[in-house]
Amino acid sequence: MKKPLLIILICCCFLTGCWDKRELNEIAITVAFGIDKSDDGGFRVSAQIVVPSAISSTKGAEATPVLLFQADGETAYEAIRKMTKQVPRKIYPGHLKLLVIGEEMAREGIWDSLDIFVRDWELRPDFSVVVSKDRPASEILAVPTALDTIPANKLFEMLENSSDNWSAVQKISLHELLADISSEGKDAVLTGVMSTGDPGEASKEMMGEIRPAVRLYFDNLAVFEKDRLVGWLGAEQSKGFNYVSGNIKSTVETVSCPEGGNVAIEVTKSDSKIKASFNGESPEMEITVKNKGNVGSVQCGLDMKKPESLHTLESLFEKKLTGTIEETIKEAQSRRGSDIFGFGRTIHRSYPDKWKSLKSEWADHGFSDVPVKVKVEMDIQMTGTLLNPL
Amino acid sequence: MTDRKQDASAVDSGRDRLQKSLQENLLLLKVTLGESSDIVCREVAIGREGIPAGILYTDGLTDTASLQDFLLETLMIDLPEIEVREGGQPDAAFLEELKERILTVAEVQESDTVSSLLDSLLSGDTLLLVDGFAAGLVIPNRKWAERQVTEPNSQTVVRGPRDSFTENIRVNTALIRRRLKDPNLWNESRKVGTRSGTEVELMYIHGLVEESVLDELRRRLDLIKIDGILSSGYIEEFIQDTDYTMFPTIYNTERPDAVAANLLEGRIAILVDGTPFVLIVPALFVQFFQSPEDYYQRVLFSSFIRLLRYASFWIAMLLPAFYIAITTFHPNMLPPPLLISLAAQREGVPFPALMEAFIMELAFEILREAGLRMPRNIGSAISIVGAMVIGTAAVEAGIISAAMVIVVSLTAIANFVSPVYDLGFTVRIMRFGFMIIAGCFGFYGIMIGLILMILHMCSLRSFGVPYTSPLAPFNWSDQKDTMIRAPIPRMFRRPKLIGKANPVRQQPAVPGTPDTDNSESKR
Amino acid sequence: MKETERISAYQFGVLVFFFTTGTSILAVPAVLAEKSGQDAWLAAVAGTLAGMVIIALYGVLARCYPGMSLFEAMEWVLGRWIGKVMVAVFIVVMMNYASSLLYYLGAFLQTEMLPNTPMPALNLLMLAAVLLGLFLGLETIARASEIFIVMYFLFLFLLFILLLPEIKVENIRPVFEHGAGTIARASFPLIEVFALNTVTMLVIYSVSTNSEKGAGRSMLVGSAISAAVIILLTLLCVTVLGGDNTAKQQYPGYELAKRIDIGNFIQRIESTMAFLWLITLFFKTSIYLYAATLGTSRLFGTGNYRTFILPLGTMAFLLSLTLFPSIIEFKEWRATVGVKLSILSGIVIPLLLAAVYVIRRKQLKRKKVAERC
Repeated sequence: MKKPLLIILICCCFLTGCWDKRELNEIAITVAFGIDKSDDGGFRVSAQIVVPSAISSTKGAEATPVLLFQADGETAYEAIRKMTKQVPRKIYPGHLKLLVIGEEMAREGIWDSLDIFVRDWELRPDFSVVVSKDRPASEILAVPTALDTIPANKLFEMLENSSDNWSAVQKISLHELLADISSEGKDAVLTGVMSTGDPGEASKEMMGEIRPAVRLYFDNLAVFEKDRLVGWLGAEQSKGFNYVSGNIKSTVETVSCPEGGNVAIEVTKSDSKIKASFNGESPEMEITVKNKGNVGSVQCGLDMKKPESLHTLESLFEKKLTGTIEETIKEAQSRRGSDIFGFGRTIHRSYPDKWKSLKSEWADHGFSDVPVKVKVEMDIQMTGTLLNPL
Repeated sequence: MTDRKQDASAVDSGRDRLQKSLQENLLLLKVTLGESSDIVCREVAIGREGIPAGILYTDGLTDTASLQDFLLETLMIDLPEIEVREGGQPDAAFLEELKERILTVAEVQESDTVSSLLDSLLSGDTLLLVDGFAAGLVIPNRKWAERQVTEPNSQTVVRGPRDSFTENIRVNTALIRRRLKDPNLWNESRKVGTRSGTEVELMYIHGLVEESVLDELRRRLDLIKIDGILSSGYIEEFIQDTDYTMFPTIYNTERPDAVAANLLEGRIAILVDGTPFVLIVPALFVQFFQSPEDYYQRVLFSSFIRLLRYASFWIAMLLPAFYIAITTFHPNMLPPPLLISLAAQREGVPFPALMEAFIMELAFEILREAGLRMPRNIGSAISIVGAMVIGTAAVEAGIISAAMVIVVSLTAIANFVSPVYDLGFTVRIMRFGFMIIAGCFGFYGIMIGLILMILHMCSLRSFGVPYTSPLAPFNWSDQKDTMIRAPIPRMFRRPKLIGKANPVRQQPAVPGTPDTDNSESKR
Repeated sequence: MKETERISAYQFGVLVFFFTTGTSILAVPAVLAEKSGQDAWLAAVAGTLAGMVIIALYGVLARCYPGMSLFEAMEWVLGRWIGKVMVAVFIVVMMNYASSLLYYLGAFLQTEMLPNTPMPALNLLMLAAVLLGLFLGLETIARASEIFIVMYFLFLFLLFILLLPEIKVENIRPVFEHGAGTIARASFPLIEVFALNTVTMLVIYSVSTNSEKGAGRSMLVGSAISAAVIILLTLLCVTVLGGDNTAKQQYPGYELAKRIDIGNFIQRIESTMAFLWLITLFFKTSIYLYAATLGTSRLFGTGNYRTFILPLGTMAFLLSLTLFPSIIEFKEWRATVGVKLSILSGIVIPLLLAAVYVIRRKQLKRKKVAERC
């Protein structure tokens, strides 16, 4: 009785072929997608595709390491499939690192372009999403990079590095973005990517130069209402936002000494807590940011041997940061309806009953009217290898 | 079948009994043996009376020196006077007297059937036939050229005894009995094979062994009606539970210490004359991961090694399948840099990964078999060719990707970790099955393959004991000697399903017995 | 007539575990979260608790007819003809479930792993494994389950441990937002797959276990462990994915595995985690088909259930391909027909059995004594 079964099984294996088989040299490894509006109002998708043989160390970097392809379509999915007209291999997005959304597209709403990236089985929603400021995404993806031969990798690492060490930008993966967009009482932000100079002029020869004319950099945070981009936070405010949302891993703040000169303070740890309370029926928010840090560099006559100096620095820091945060909040509240701090969510979590009545008006005026108290604490611990400045 | 019938009829037709006349007897024996040149027939006259007698032995199987010392000398020179009856015939008790008082050898048997005499003769015993008696004496003085007890070839250990079985069953039983001086170590002998008459002996410890298993084994051995048994492999195929399985359901070893350990657990050893490999039943799957060395090394180390063996088993079986599945179905699983480097390597490789793996695995198997069968002195040529063909040329020609070479080599090495040679075969064959199914369905295929394999394993039994025990049916106390090994003082019980006739192996040592405890203060 | 195979109480417990965990490891959190959002784990607690009560009642029912399988009991209690009708109904239900599971497997593999492989091939491969298991018998399946349970918990443990860094505890707040009513309603589908279908285990409850007392206990223990797994998994889904997001996923369990990322090194291992689900599905399908073949052999009065393995297997295969035109219709089927079948087999028939048993108790006992003499 077992034998016929075995035979069926073997036949089933051999005769049917391998439907889903794709050899590694038959796929086009896509590391970045860019999405823009096309001229006729549809989607223009650009894909950055790796040329493995050009990257592998043994063969040298003779050929171009990546290729950029573009196609238009009524949906993003259609556009990606249309790309096969130009690409000899099947687009394989499983190792996507970066999704760049053009600002123009973002202002109209990103949900439609994101759906495919969530629905497709092969994509893993752990890639970063950024918005290209002022320029179409395709131009950003066309800029070649030096240190890492794959521009998407470079951008990804730059983003990671900068969100770890400077913290003015934030690495936001697709699933974090989705969680923000879909949850009530919290709106999304995305990091902006910009370029110096006109990316159109960037070319391959540029790779040989020490100081290329065109460079990419991350700055500013794009503020969303639901899925539509409504504005940008500047560099300082972006940092303020990251303090509030607890995204600071490490950064540097410069404070001015009382008698002139500056001290740079390295923030090594930052925790924030957003608390909601109710004063009658109207909510109040309280933000507490607790920091720990070291003295990074001293450019003034403060005597670092005295504990009082540290206390002075701490209070200076606290004052400065409180200002930044308050400004950020003011800026955010001036744009009704984009509750990027998640105040609404905080209220929902702590006071689900009261949230029910607040919910409907939250986007209209609830968020912009809520009073916010900011408390910053700083604790300076180390002063580096030097006691007093030379 | 017909051969055996003819033999039987020849024996039955009244010619099986010896005659009184020596000449007739000798003639009968000679004719039956086809006057073979290695059968030596010496006619002597014994005693002062010169009673005619015949001595027969097989040249090369008999110790001629002792024949000379203890038989010929005794009979022809030292023999005291014999009382002779009328007509020059010796007394009726003469044969008895010869046996009891004259022949100075350890064991003498009397036999009066031609077939049993032939049997003894061909086993290397010497026959003594005396005129006037319808019976012959069998004097066992077998001795033939044989291999010495050497170090084991297939199951080597670093720390542990270095002796191994030989082709001589007596030496083998002696090696076992040297280790177990237990009166309950019983030895049961039978001859199997109508023409080869191979000695097959069962050894077991009475009281530990499960009687039902023993009866079943006897039944299966009795069912064997083959003409010749040339190796224990024959017996193995006759007595195993399932014919068509990849998994060995009978354990074999050439190490006496392994046999002794298994006997102590309640298993049965089957020794076959002419084979240095002893069979052990019932055999369990986990047993094939145990090396005698596990018990000679320190506990943590052997546990680690044992886990390593299980890991290598899976690596040897599944690694190529995994490689195929990942590169052709789930590139998702690769870390990005690895994906790009693998993709770069595959650039220009003409075969799909499945074919590539097949080619390499087949090439390796061919090389391995060739290396095994080749005359020893050109063995090194193969390794040079192999290394060049597989390692360098294939990759440089762009036929095979370098990663595949790494995968195949790792698989091959992992295969050699198996302490028992037999399981290596299982893995080698199953590997191809897994490769095919992975090439068609990716991980899903591998998982279904695993389910099929484990179902099959679970359906196997070795002499009634589930093959997968003690993993399934699960048993806690047996886990002390399964994936890991517990310290020997902590292994209190025999394997549950095998040693259930007498489960307790040792009593837990009572801590602080006076012997060890106060030695310091007493002094 | 009787199957002589015997499995131990432990093996029975393992089978109960696999059966009750079933498909839930992959999909149930989404179903729960659909109505109750971040309170899905509370729904899981409620559902499994209610389910345990039902399973305990099944145990009580099984004790009414010691030494008999569910099918035998049906004929014994309800009489030959009504009993046979009930057996037939039961077979139909089991076949429906077996084929729906096969379809579900194919659908999952097509969406998440092998989009271009035709469903017949995928289903056939799994069916081949199931049929081989049935041919080899319940003892073999039970032993295999003992081996797989170890691997299963190893993988599950890995999944839990590797997901720990991804947990955001604040995701479960606010707790109990949706109120008891909604949570109870949300837990109904779980009760269905967790408990009502477990009535199938009664087919092998007494016939195939060494000691009936042990079987009753291992049924409870097995389902309790499975309940713990379901609750933990739902909790993980809520804390890692978030309540709303969980509800949106087709296979939240698989999505969970995608989130594993330890130091950019241990990541991208979701394909291996599919193992967890394939194993439970294998055992669940096997038990359904085993019950169906056993019932059929009972129906036709032949002793050897193996005769019916191939015909019923083929039928399940064809049904799995034709019953559901699309995944949406499959979900619709689960929510309408599937629920009705579950209620029929899990509530109506057992209640009928129990009621008639209570009414005819004395008569039945006499009958039994008479049979024995």
